[in-house]
Amino acid sequence: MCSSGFAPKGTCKRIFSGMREKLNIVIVGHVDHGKSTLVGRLFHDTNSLPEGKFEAIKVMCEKRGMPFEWAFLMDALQAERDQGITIDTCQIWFHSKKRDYVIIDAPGHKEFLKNMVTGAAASEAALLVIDADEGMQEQSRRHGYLLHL
Amino acid sequence: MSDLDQLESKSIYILREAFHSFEKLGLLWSLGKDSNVMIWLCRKAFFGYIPFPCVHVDTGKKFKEMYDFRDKYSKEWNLKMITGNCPPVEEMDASFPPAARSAARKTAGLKALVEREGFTGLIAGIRRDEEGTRSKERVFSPRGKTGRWNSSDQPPEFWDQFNSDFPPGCHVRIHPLLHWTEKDIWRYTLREKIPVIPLYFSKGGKRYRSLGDEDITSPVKSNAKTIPEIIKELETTRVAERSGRAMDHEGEDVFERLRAEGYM
Repeated sequence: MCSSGFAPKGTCKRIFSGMREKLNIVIVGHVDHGKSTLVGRLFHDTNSLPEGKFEAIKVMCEKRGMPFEWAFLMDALQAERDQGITIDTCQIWFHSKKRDYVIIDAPGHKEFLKNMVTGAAASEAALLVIDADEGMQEQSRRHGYLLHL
Repeated sequence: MSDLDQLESKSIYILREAFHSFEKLGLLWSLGKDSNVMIWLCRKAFFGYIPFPCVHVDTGKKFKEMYDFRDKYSKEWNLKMITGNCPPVEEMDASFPPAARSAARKTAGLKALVEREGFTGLIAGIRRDEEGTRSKERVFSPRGKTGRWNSSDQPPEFWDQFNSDFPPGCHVRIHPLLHWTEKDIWRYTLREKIPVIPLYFSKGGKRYRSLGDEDITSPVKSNAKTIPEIIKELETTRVAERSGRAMDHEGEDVFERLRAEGYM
């Protein structure tokens, strides 16, 4: 398997046997309870953002005259940024020492439930985000119920 | 089953679903590392012979190495090739910045070709980890009559149930590599010994991480001269894969606009 012209002996073993555990995890919860923000922060605080991304997000926010918005990492569509909401689910890769993750962000609005379920269908685990001040809200319960299915 | 086998098997499932669902199917072959993996997977999915045409939308501005690669392997792999040309840049929307306006030629060339050939399904090798709007894509992604992508109202997609029932006049983009990462592509290329265009390997301290038109694509700093070295580099780099693709960086909304109008 390792006789490829470009591969020095021994390196293939590391590349193929070093199989890491992978977990798909969906982030759900009510509107504005901080799902996308949590992911943006996670990437920044663990130094996982690509080069220049933080600065780019800063410029986008200044242009719109709004405070720094962590959610812009995941909310890539103009319609999402202009309205400050997540419309569609998206997937982003994250690596820790222990395993690789596919983090699936999901929208919190009732109108976009089909996108939330699309995200949830691709996941093996879920994180339900609840704002400590607002407590459980309509979509917190609804998402919880849908995850249960 | 190794993780690469799992990726492979999911992609082969998608390709066979697509073949079953669409009468007029074409595979977009951009000659880059991803679509080469896609051709490889197709040959596996259909036992050595790809039962639909491979489409190269030729901007006329690709690297010489890319054309050489196309000519060599289209013969060797016995591909049914369809090529389409692109209109001159002057005919493109002038409100685009220069590189994006140039890239829009490919969308226009593709649309003309879809119309000419009557394709109802087009297989494209985009991946979620490449770029923000691609991370929101569906495996089966419908385009309206004008080829537009309506990113704010995409159909739901549950488990392996792919919706293939769309109104007449649209075509559907099929994305069998959506769940792969750049590193997966290289690990698979190495394992399967898939031919590689040498531009991906470092020469004089630089290499191309993503290939496109010669005039709007630039190399990144790198000393990686082999695939294992590329994989090692990807484990530590924080430079984005498409940082050398000019049309991605001319403005916040430019790439999304390109994609909404039908770019891959």
